[in-house]
Amino acid sequence: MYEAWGAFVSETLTAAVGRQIHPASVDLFFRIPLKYRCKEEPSLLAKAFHRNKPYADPYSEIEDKVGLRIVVLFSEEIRIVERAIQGCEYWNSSKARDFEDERAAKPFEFDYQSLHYIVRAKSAVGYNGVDIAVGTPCEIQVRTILQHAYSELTHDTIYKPSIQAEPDVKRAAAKSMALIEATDDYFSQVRQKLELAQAPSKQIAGTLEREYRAFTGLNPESSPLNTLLVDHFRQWAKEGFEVDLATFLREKPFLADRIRERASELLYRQPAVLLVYWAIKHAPHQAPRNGPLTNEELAPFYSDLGKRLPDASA
Amino acid sequence: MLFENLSVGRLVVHEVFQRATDRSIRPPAFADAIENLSAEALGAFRLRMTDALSGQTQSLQMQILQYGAGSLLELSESLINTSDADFITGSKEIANKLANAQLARNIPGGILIVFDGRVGVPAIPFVGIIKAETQAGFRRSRDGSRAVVEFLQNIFLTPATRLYKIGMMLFDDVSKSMPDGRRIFVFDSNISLSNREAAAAYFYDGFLGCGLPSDGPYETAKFFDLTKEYIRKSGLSAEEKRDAVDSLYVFVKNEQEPTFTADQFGCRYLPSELQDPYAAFLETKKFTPNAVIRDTSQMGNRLRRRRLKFGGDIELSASPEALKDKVRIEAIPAEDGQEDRWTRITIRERLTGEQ
Repeated sequence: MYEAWGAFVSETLTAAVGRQIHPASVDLFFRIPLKYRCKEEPSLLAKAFHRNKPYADPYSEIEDKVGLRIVVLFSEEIRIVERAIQGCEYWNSSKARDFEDERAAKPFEFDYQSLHYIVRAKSAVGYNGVDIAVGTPCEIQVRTILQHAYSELTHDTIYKPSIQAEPDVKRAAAKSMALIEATDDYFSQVRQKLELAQAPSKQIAGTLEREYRAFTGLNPESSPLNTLLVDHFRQWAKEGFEVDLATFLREKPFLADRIRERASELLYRQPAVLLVYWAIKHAPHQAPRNGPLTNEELAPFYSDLGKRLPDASA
Repeated sequence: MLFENLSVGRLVVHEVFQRATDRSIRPPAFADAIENLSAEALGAFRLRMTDALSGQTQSLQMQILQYGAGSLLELSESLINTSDADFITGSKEIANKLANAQLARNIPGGILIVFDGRVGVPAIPFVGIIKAETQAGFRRSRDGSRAVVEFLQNIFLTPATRLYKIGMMLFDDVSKSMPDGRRIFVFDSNISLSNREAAAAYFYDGFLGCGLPSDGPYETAKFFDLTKEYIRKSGLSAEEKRDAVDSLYVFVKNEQEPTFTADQFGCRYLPSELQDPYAAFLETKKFTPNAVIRDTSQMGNRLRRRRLKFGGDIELSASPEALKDKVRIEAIPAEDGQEDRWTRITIRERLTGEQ
């Protein structure tokens, strides 16, 4: 039953996070593949008896009989996952620990950081032919890849009472956690700067996708090639590009036929082909230089516009 | 003329031959059907056409000389919107005309392609004629598990443009009386080669019935003035501007090819970042992207003397050659230390008089 509940939670949560971060891919967002894990009996017993906590009925009180761990890159992304956990209709969620609250409570300590939630089934559900009882718990741990590295280092070592870690070991671990927190700040800075730098590209890509649909009637199939094309050819997309491109396409409706004719090629399913035409129209000499397309790929674009690809040597 | 939105309709392929040793005509080998090309082949065909006819090459808008009954222009016009059978019949007549026009024995045979379609925005009908000489080449292919090399003869329309000639007859408005409302463009690499012009004449003159355009002097002067204006207004440094104008004089005056295009000048003599703005500038000034006959006969003094101005009131006048060989001009700092405000001119001659 726990296994089915774990599978159900991980599947539901993946879909919910996917909706939150659309159109980015969940598989990339989760830095470690999502996998639920049931506690083995020995580990459960160990937890029930050896931790200095009083469990009256260990088997139902221990909430992490099944658990899953979500590892993301940036600390901001943890809150995205949190929203997905809280917003789900199939379970009640309760926060078990929150590293930001812990930081606020103990500002001088640098220790294990993670966000833990316990989710319990709201009503009985069936999954893969297994009935899951109301209130079945599952623990979800959410952390950054940096926090995960720390916990991998220290798990099973300094927190286990069987090992009494020396003060200097604890000190070293605390130092590394402090460094991890600082690194996370820098990661965020890098991310913000990257996002700022990519904003114009993103805007152009959005325009192109819209226009491509309207112009050709085809469904674009953006691949990494699209990003490459946008990054190279966007230098010719000046202010007012959105309006200019629309005018350009209205004047040259025949380009839609050419794109449809060649839609069996991946290149022509990229919305950025419109930008390639645009750049060649405005800068036939400069546009191909140092670009991602070969002469063989470029020649038809020139031909469609009644031009000739400038000699590669020129 | 920009050959965009080129779509090819029907296409017939005949073959014409070199004349026999007694200079009699060997009858062309005719095709009896319209070719059915794959989309990929048509794409390649279009690519050859636009490559040859576009601004960067030497396609020329010709003067239409023969347009009466029995002329090639009239025959081509009659092919538009005809049935396929009539199209094939007419194309055979065109093949016969080419065989007749190939008077000299040293004119090689070749493949003759007659095709129609539409071009431009808004699209207008055209009839195109290509004479393509054949080449030989090799092809590597697989025969089962074995790679084999085949020798192929009679390949045509490879990217080697010197092996084909194109005549494009555009029918803008056939309700007008001939030859108005019609345009003929010719692409023939022989036209643009000095002392090869005779080799091209049979095609555009004897066969297509047209002549080299007469607007060469006007267009050459226009090109010169516009280019000078562009260089003057460009963001180049004073020295770069002078170099570019030097090149312009040489390009217009001293180059030997009978035709030129503005694009040639841009690619050879302007810095790469100016090539596109230069082309855009000429487009807004409505200067032709096609080739122009180089003719400086009406440029008078403009090529003989150059005048450089310093401030509002000082001029230096010299022939382009003297300016290049005997005069050195450099910018120097002014007395108050401001950079590049004064000019030092060194003239390797004595002062010999005053006008």
